[in-house]
Amino acid sequence: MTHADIAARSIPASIAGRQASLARRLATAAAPALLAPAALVVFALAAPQAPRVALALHLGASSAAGHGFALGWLGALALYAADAAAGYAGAVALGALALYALAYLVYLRARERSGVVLSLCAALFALVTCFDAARVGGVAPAWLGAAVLLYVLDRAPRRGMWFAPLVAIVWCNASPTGLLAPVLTVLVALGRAADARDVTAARPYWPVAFASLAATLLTPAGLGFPAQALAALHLDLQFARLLPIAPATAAPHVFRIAATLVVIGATWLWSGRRRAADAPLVLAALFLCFYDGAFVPLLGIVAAPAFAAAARNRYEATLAPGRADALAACLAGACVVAGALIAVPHAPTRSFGDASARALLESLPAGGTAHVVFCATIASCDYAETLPGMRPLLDERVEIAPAGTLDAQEKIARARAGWPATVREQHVDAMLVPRSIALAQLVPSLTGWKLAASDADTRLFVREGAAR
Amino acid sequence: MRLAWLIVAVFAARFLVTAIAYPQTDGDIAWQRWLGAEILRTGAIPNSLGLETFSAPGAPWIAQEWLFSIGAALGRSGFGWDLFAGFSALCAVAALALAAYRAERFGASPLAIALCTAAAGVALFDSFGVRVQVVAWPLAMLFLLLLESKGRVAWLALAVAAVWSNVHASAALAPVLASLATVGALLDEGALTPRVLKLAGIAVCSLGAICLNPFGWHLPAYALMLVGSPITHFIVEWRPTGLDDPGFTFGALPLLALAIVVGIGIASGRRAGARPSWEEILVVAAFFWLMLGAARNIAIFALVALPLVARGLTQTFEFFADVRPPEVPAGARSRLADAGLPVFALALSVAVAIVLLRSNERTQANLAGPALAALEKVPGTQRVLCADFAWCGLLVGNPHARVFLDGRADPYPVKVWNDFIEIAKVGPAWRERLDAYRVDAIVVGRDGPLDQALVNDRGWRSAFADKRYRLWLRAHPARVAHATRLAPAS
Repeated sequence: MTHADIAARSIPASIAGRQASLARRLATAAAPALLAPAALVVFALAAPQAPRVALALHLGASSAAGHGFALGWLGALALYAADAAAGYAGAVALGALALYALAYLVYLRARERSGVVLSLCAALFALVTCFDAARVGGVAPAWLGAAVLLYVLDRAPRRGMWFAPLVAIVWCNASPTGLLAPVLTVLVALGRAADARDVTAARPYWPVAFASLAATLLTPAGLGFPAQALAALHLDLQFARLLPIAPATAAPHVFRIAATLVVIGATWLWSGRRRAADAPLVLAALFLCFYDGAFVPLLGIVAAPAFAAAARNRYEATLAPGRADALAACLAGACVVAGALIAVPHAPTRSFGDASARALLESLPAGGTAHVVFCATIASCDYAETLPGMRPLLDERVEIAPAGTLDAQEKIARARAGWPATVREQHVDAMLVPRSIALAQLVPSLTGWKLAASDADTRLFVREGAAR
Repeated sequence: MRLAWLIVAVFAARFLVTAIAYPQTDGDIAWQRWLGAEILRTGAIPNSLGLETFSAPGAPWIAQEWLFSIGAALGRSGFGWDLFAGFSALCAVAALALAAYRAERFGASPLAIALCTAAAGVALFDSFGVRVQVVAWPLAMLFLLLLESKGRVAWLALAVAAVWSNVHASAALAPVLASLATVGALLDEGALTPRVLKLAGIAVCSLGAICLNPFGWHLPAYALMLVGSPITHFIVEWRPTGLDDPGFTFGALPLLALAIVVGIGIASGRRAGARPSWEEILVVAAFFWLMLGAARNIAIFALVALPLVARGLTQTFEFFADVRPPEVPAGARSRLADAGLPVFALALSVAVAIVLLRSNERTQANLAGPALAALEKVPGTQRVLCADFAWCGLLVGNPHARVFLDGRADPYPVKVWNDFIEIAKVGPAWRERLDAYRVDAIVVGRDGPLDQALVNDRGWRSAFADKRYRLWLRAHPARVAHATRLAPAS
């Protein structure tokens, strides 16, 4: 059976041609509406982050770590607009809207290949995989670009697929994850070729992939975008030394369960089928997840419609339609219950993620010269960017920091041999250190350093003679 | 299997050489030797920590490694060590061979089996050593093999579970695996068939089988407790699996990738177009879940996935399909050909072993041996803290030393662990904790955070230092004793 055969079997017309019950019609109409509160719940339950901090991170003018173009300026601008218009609620609403759009696109992609309940399951699964990345200023809304791109690529070989380069342009300007646009296009092409066992099946995708590749250069960063964005995707294990990006840390609630469900889905649905057009996409997404937990939403976006389609085919072969729908409805219910069980106990309090660091930094008045601040927890330094007369040694923009700064950060934070010399070499004159780590106990023994302020969690040290 | 034997032979050489000829790379074997000697001396298995520790004497201890420890004590040195270490290596080899054999039973082609065996062999590297969990690997494989067997022979899985429980607490997986197989078989067959009932019976009976050890039901209870224990956060091999684990990246991950791309194939005997077996999917998913949670499970996931992935490859790609030559009548020439491959495999393993022995990649001893030896020269009995608790395994049973924490790890209470972490990671109360426990000797890595903190502390003096380690002793032990008399007891 060719891919065209599958498409012919699975297009909505063939499904609609069957005797659709009133209940199913209602479900079809209600499904998109169901996704909206689900998206809001996921986003509202996830950890909030001050939008102004995120803005400063993206648009900040200077950093001691290095200078580079603010990747994702369009996303930051959207966040700024939402924040300016409606404050924190506006930023939350923007994120929830992006998640809703993402889930709805997953639903539409799944709907083209399977029934309404399975499609709803797929969209809910994609939403659940966004949980750990869903926060104001977080990466989850950026994956909307992937959802749109894959939706457009599903139009192939029709003209609609030519919207892909446009999507790539917007995505690249909104987030460094846009760099994946040509990669995803190539993976879709490879999947189609492998599925059809004919390399010519991929032919329609190559020009689009090339155009998407060219689109990655159409950002203000120009030719520098691919290299900068590649670094920003943290596809280098050295970043795991500095940032909490390992999947177990970055996506502690959903990675393990999502990955296991994907393995179960792939082994159950694809075994013995000799066709797996989506396998390269799913495999690549799973692989990326092991680098950085921020990729877990991508896993949901690519795997959910694929498994919905495969499940539909499997059901058709083995189960009566009524029983299949009942089973799928049970699965959808289980998804909602599982999502609630995962999410509710972890609902955070409504506060800034690092209030302690913020208060301490604000207590450090700027003198005539700028402080160079070292933060043992890098995210704490994001806020330093917004304060006058303060430059962080390194903030979360690790991708634009020189290698020497990364090494210095790690050496000081872990109190490796020779760290006091590194502090001097980097001209650090303020250090923000959690009480619980060794450095907080070692800094007081450094000549010329003293405790300037502290609270229950964090200590702020300053070098005597530094601007105060 | 004919190609897989070559792969297994190469890994056999690697494991044997690593086990026998290379220096130890962890401290567990030291305390296990002590434990074995204690069992042989007293005729009983200790059920609590003794005076070899000062932080938690009397804490309940399930010495699950008792059988392995007796072997370690008997094979302390010389030819005995060669035999004991060689046995550990052979257990890893047996596990790999059993997994390859499962693949053959599943109908995988020799080429697919060889490829997957190579990947699984690489996945064993990180966890391999003269270690008790390695001995459990073939038992896990044998248990699965028997579960899949037809007829009454499947009940032998209970005997394997019983033996397994005397080797390692991972035997608690036996009823879980049997239960998953039961649920899977029920989903596959859609009715309570004799096979489903048999598997259910094995699942229930294996609950009893894993209690056939000196600790009875306490062993599975202990294993269950360990799964949720916070101390696993402090132990390296319990960390979540990641791409920085070479065994995962170059061994288990390729198998996982193949499983996702080609699936796991359809069991032979099922009709064309049939579904894959839930029985197999649930088992492999369970081990995948375990692997994501702890790097120590990378090896066992690879062993479980090997046969299924090999079958998936065989059924998906014609390149891997088994194209057997027509049978030739048995004769002198065919017998020579049959014997040739094992002989070649043996020669290959010997050659690899010689190359490994001559290579310069021998591991460096990393057990702070010189610093611990320096401690021997200090008069009296010392209360020792090792910045890496595994180093203190070498001191267990030493009459001149009592340890804060050692490689036995599990029986130490969570409070002791928290205090240990506070000191070793130089938390805010590290000095108070040291004083409260009246620690009077500390072995640290040179220039590590604790070493730096002690440099700045006048209460401690360096008694020994080399390029990698330093031994610190209290400058004024009497003053500490006075201070701790005033403080509440730990």
